[in-house]
Amino acid sequence: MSESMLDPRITLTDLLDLPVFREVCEAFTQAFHLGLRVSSESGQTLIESLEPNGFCEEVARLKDGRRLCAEARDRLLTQPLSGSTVNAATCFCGFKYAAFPLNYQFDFIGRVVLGPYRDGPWSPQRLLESQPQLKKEAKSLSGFAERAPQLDPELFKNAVRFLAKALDAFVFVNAKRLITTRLHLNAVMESRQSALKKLEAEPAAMLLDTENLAKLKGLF
Amino acid sequence: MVQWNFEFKEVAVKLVYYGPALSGKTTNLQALHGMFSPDHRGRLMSLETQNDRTLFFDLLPLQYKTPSGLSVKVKLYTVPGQVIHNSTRKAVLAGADAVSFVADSQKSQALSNSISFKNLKENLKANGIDFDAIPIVIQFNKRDLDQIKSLEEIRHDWGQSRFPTLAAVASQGKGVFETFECLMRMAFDSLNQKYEFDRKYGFQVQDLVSALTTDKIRSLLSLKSALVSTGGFTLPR
Repeated sequence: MSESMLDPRITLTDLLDLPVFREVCEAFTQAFHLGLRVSSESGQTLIESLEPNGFCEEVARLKDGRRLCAEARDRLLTQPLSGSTVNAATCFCGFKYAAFPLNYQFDFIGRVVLGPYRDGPWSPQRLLESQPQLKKEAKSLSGFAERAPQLDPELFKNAVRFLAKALDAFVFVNAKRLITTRLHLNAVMESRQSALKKLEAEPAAMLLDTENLAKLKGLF
Repeated sequence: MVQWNFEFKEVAVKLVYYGPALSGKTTNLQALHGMFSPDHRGRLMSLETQNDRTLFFDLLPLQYKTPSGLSVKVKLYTVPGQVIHNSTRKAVLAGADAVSFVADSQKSQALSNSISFKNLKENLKANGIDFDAIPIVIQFNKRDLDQIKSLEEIRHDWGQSRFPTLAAVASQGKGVFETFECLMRMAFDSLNQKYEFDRKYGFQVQDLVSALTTDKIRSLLSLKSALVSTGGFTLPR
């Protein structure tokens, strides 16, 4: 039984022109001061648009800071997401992330992770729960945290909603184009095969054409 | 051909709406799109020309998750009816698990209907699908027009066949969901014989049908009244 060209699993890299979409992500980051990562189904980062906030850079300078940051980020890129809504997460340092899945025809094809960000005053509690040895550093970190942009919760919700809708539209439109191209190619190939079959059924006509062409060639 | 992922407990089923040009295949999908709950249906993808003729196909994806965790995905496709698009019809039909043949009830369209039905047989065979085994329902659409084949004639001509026939006015949404329900039931009756989704996962088509529609829509539907002849189909209790 033949498989359909319409049904093979489509990946996010099939559907997004990454350089073009990177521009969209960077514009989003600039507009909302919110970094984001777009990753594939397997967790591979496809697009990264970062918003330096000073705080995360300081955390990364701490002992094991860079490793802990990387672990937190990798978890967000690979842990299962629930449903099709936004999943909230808090980093070990107290800043926040939000992630939502990208789906095509109900198949999970990737995710978007937004953050890190803060939507209120920063408290060192979360950091000290996971890293109690950083009590001394926590005081200096609070200064950096306060200088990091604070996102209005309502604005954040609207920004995420907009991004999810825009991405959904990108995926849908490009999927439509991809399938159209495949069907068009299929139609062209079928037409070619049909024409070849007709030619095979007329070898005498072909031979005459070839002889005529050879004669004409001789004139030039 | 049903796609069954045992590891993730996902099953994907493909249903194709076939028929001559302008018989109402796209209208069926558009009507279904309007009836289904947004939680369980995706976007309707249509590739059409400027004068609303289907160029390549229409696609409507649906999804339902059973309490036992089985994810059922149903993809509804239409084919382009115009004779010139046979390669696309063949490509869209590949891997189909069931077919709804949408016929135009007008007597003047009898030849177009028969050419298209013959074409369906040929393209099923070209795709390695057994015409005598695949579930097929026949919808006689456009029952609101004049000079149409009567229900008695339909029963006479199709009553002894294995194909259930249903009456519809797709432009008004009548008979559309009933055709879909009949098609789904036949598809899963066939699939359950091989995969036993009902026994292993407690999946009942009725649950999917109920989940897809709102209470208001459900109260308006009657599969029994839309059926003209039952063919090989047993009405649910």
